[in-house]
Formats: sequence, structure tokens, C-alpha cells
Amino acid sequence: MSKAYVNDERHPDLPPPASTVGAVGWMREHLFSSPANILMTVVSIGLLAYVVPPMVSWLFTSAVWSGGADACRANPDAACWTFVGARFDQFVYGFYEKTERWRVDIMLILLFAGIAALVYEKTPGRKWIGMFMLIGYPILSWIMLLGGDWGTPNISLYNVIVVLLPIVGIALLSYDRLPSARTIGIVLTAFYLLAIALLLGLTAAGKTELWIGSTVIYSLVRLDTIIITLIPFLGLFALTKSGEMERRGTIGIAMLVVFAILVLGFFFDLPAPSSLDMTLVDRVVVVSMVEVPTKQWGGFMLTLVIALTGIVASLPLGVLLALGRRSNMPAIRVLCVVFIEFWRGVPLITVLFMASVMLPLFLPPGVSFDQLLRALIGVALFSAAYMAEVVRGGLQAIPKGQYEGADSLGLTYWQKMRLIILPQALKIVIPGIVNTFIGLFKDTTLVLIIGLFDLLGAVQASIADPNWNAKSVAYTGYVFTAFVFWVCCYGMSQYSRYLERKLHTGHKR
Amino acid sequence: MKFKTLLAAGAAIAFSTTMASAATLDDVKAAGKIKCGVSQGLPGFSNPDDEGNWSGLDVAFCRAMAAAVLGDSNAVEFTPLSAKVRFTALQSGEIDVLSRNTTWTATRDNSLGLEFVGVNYYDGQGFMVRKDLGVKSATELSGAAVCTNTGTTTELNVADYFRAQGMDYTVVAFEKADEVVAAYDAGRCDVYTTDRSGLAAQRVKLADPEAHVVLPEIISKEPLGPAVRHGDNQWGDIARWTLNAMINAEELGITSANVDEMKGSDNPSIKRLLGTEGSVGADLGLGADWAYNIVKQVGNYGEVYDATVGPNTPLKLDRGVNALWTQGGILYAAPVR
Repeated sequence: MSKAYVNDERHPDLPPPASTVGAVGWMREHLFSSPANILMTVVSIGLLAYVVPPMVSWLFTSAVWSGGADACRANPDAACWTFVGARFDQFVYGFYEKTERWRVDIMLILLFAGIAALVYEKTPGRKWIGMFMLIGYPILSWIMLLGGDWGTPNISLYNVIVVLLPIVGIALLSYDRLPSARTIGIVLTAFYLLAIALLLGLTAAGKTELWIGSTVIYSLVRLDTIIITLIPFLGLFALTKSGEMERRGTIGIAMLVVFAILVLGFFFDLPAPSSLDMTLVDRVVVVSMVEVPTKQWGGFMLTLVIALTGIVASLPLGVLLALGRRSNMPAIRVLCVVFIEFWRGVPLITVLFMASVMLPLFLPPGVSFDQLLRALIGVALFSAAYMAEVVRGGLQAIPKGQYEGADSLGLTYWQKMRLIILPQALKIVIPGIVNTFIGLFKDTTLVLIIGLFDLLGAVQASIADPNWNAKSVAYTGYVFTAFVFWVCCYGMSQYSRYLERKLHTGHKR
Repeated sequence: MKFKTLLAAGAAIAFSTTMASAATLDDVKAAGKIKCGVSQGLPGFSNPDDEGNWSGLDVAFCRAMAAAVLGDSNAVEFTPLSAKVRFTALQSGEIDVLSRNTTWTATRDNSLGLEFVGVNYYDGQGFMVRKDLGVKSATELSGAAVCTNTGTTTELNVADYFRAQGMDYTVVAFEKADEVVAAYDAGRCDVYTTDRSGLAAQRVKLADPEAHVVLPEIISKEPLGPAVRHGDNQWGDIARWTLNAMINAEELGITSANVDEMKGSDNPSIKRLLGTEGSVGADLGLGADWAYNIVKQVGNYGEVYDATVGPNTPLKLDRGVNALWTQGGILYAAPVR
């Protein structure tokens, strides 16, 4: 009798068939799983074999890495990296003053450090760094890059009035019995009518200024004379019309904002009414650096300035516009729709061209804005319109129940948007937002047509140097530009994918 | 109709305001620099060098003006302009002088609100073909595919020429000179046409420069020169005489190297030009040493030509018609007296 064989321990797992594991298995599954797949694999490998070796040879192995233009002329069928080396500073800084380039370096280092700190999640004080990068950094870079003298303005009669007016306004507003509002309205109406009469009278008399003795008391060309008289008038007129205190608060804040703009306007030396220009206290200069006019800005630095301004300005503006477009208030809705459709309806080239070339034709002589500033405003408004539509898409994707839920909690409009709707809506449209950013980043090259040399412009201008007239120079320059743009855009897109994964909360289908 | 009238009135006002600010000289002196419009990179005429300084024949003219007006050839702010925006930039006061290889034509001079002050390079449009085509003359180009730039007079000249000769042709047009050259080099067209100075500049970029030949025909006159805003005659005079001074200096043998000793010359023409005699500078509203500064800091026309586009530069352009009238060319400047 044979002994019964009983296996008292589990048979060890057999290894999977050799053909399904390791490199072979992977290839069988992914590259050669079906005839179509095999065909595609073979074609792809063939294509790579056809393209990659000459590319590697052109880019690296036979490329010119040292020597001058002669070395490149001698080797016309390979990249001329010495050209990029010789012109690297120009590609980064454009025509920026050579002795002042450390300022750009500092801002670039700050920028990259800031971005790194924001991307890395465990950075202490990340919120504050974010605030700084959004608000402090742009101001700081403007000061650092432009240079010149920065400090307190001259304290003039104008400043005093601009500072005192809102204080008086607040005092009036906080005084809850305001029966004289109607009287104020009448007085101001009379005042403004007088101003208009003066304006018309001067125009009719063919003069631009009204003099008493040797003091100019009213000047036509100073646009803000009119604005200054108009704004408080409008504000207080609105006050007399509205009895509710909450409204008054809003109007008061609006007036404050306008005055703040006027103060800033003086700070940046916009024209002020000359009669008020009397200096009481001389200005105190805090920082003094060599001024580098924006005409000299260029290269990658300019690309970054334009792209980052557009990006930083377009998101908040776009959110506001999107909310405005879905607002229940007809005036705001119409304004936003008109704004968005106007900017979406014109090409960016037109915007830049109008801003840089046509605008000065319509401004009074002597009044001019900085060329770059004009371009920046154009780019920011343009991208804000696109951003608004992207954000609106997100807002529409949020189910109505979310809005109603927020309402039923008794949240105000802004609470509802800030706490419930926007966090969800913005998360949905991250790909769209980043898409707009990337588009904007690449659109910065269009500033070339208004005479600003961004990275591409700097490269193209350098190619024209007859001392670098080798055949490969142009190709090398363009390849370099393409690589820099690819790195930036791919970086943005990778970060957006990471953000999507991080914020993914289970709604993904 | 009414709207159109309104628009025209608006444009008239816009232009009149720019013309009202006529005294460019005062503005320039107040600003301490001349705003000069140049190309966005044209080899030998205006391009940035390795150091990031603008150089070239057109650039040198602006530097000469700065030397004459402000006494410092570096007091120039260069604004690179595309072909499309150059005239508007001048009209709007964005720049004070346009020195951007611009062809002087009647339409531009008379209807665009600008004024050409002279010619700093006599160019003409030519053709380049492959040697192996065996073409000896442009009259044999019937049926050819022609590579050219868009939006310039070049394209129009080709159309005129081929129509006048009763020949067929196909245009292959591109925005950038580099693209045109690449297309021609790749054989997408039989003929490459642009100004002859451009042909010379681009030829070195071809795979085998020796395999191509420039045909003898010149199908257009392209007098390239600087322009200023119409209506400011004083500023126009300064620009015109800056150019004349550079040409006269070459004719009189004054160079940047010998200008100091020339100041002691007995030749009355030299004395008048360098301001040791007469009041030419004061008449222009400039200092007596205006021309001295030009020659000292920038050089005479010949020096500038040799340094930027001449036979010893990569462009290798012979003086040709751009030589002085005394040397077989057509450069002839009005005398300073």
C-alpha cells in the first residue's frame, strides 16, 4: 500500500510566465499587443531613428561650442552655440544698462526663490510669501528695474487738499444727521457749473489758462482739474440721492479710492493743476539709483515682466469680470459684457498698435505715457477678458444647489462667492486658466511690433549682425528661443497638473 | 458720409496737434537725447553688436545728429521699428528722426506728413539666381518662382518689372528676410529678389555662396535716406546738413583722425565746415563746432561706409554709385558756405 501523499504546506507561487514580466512583458503588452500596435511601434521607432541622430549631431556632437563667428562659418551645418554664448547677456537683459544689471539679477533670484517657496508646500509662512509675491514683488521690481529717485513727494497745496478732502468726506459721512446734503449738492452743482463755464469761456476766448496776477488759477490742458472737480461732485451728488447709510458707506469708499488714485497720480508725477502745485515741503528721496528707462529693457527679462504682469493682473480682473457678467445688476452686467466682448473682438496686435502708435496722436502734445506701461495695460486688459470667460465657464459648471445652499445659510453675496462658489469654480477651470497663461506668455513676443525687444526680438536683432552672418546662426538663435519658451510653458503646465491632482476631491470622472 | 467727415476732422486735429509742437530742436535739447527710429535688425544698416550697442550706416547718421546737436554721439535713444509702424511713429512724435533704410518716394514724402532730408545709401532692387540655371539676364526669367518679402516695395517692383517685360512669374512671399533666404536656399523658388545691399548681406548665409550669381539688371531706384516730421523746417535743415557735412567732410579729406589738425587748415571750405570761420552752425541753431563733433565722434561718410557695409566688412559692398561724385559715384553734397 502506497503511502498517501499529502502536501502539508502551500505550494509556493509559481513566477508569472517569463513573457509577461520585465522588459519583455512590458513591451509585449504596450508595444506589440496587436497588429496595429506593432505597426505603430515600428513606424515610430523608424521615425525616431531617422530624426534623432541628425538632431543630436546638429545640436551637440558636431555643434560649435567654442571659437568665434569664423568657427561657425567653417561649420555651417551644425548649431552655433558660441553665438548664444556671446549674446547671452543681450538675450537676458536686452539693452539694460550694463553696470546696473545686478538689479535685474536680484529680482530674478527673488522671483525664482519666491516661486520655489510657493511650490514647495512645507515652506513656513507660505501665505505671507504669496502675498508678497502678488503685491510687494511687482512694486519692488518696478522700483528696482526702473531706478531713479524714490521717496516722498513734494508736499504741496495739492497734496494737502487731496489728503484733507477724504477726511472731510468721512467726517461728513459719519455724521449721521446729514440734512444739509441737498444744500451741499446745490453748492457743488453751482461750483461745477462755474468750472464748466470757465472751461467754455476759456475755449471761446482761445486761451488755455486763467490768470490772476501771475498765478494760474485754472488750466485747460490739465485734465485732472476737471476730474478733481467732477469726482467729489458726483460722489456727493450720489449721497444726496441716497438716504441709506450702507450706500453712503460704499460711496464713501469709492470716493476714498479715487482720492487714493489722485495721490498716487501725484506721486508718479502725473500733471496736476498748476495753481495747486505750490510746494510747501520739499520731497525726501529714500532710494536713489541710476534710472534705466523702459526703452532699454529687453530680452528674457522683458518677456517675464510682460507675462507676469499679465498673469498677476488678469486673474483677479478676470474673476471680477466673470462675476460681473453673471450679476443681476443690469448696468454692471452690460458693462462687463461690453468690456469682455470688445477685448475679445480685437486682435492683440491691434491693441498693442493702438496703444503704442495711435494713442499719442490723440493725446494733447506733451502728454505721454511710458511705451512699456501702455503695452502692459493693453496686455493685462486683453488677457483679463479671456480669463473672465474661462472663469465664467467654471461658474456655470457649479450646480444651482450650491448657490441656493449658500443663500439659505444667509451668506452675503461676497461671502457666498468667496467661500462656496469660487473655490469650486476655479478648481474646475485650472486647465483653462493655465492655458490662458501659457497663451499669454507666448503672446508676449508680439510686443516686437511696437519696438520692444523681448527674448525673440533680441535674438532676431542679434541675428542681423553681419559679423555673425554664418548660416547656422539664425537656426541656433531660434532653437534657443524655442527651448527657453518650452521650459517656461512646460513648467507652468506641469504645475497645473500637479495642482489638479492635489485639489482633486473625488468629483473626477 | 457725416461720420467720415467727422473722422477726417478728428485726424486733421490729431495731426495738427503734433505739428503744433514744432520745435523739435528745443525738445531734443531739453530731453538731452535724440529719439531715433531704426530697423529691428538689418545687417550693416542697423543692428546691435556683441556689446549691445547699435551700429550700422543708419545708426551712424543718428549718432552724427546727436553729435551735431548735443555734442555727444551717444546721446541717442534707439527705437527699433517694423516697416509697418515706422511712419506712424514719426508722425506721433514717438521718434524725432527716422533712419531706417527707407526708400524716398513721392507718396511718402508728400502725403505721409514726413520729409526726406537726403540719401545716405543709393540702392536698387536686383535678382539672385543659381549659377547652374544658366540664366545670364533677368529677361530670361519668364515663368520663374520669385522669393521676396511681403509688404515692401520689393514685391510691387517685381510685379511691375515682369508685367513690363510681358513675362509670367509666381510669387513666394515671406515676412522675414531669414525665411526668404531659407526658402530660396531650399530650392522653393528660382529667384531671390531684394535690394542689392540685402542680396549681398544674405548671400553669405547660403549653403554655397559661390553657386549663386547676382544678375546685372537693377529694376528699381531705391534711394534710402533719413526722414523727419513735415513742418519743422529747422529740424529738417539740421538733419539735411548733418548728412551733407558727413559727405563734404569726406570730399575735403577730413577724417576723425585728422580733424584736429584740419581745424588749423587754411582751406576756406574746411574752415567754414569746421566752424573756425562763418556762422553756419549758428544759422542752424547749433554750436560752431557742430560739424567738428560729427567728424570727430562719428567720422565722415566714407569712414562710416567702410566700417559698416564696405568691402572690408562681411557685407563686402563696393562703393559703386555711393562713391563721391569726384570718384565716379553720385554722392554730391551742397557746399557749406
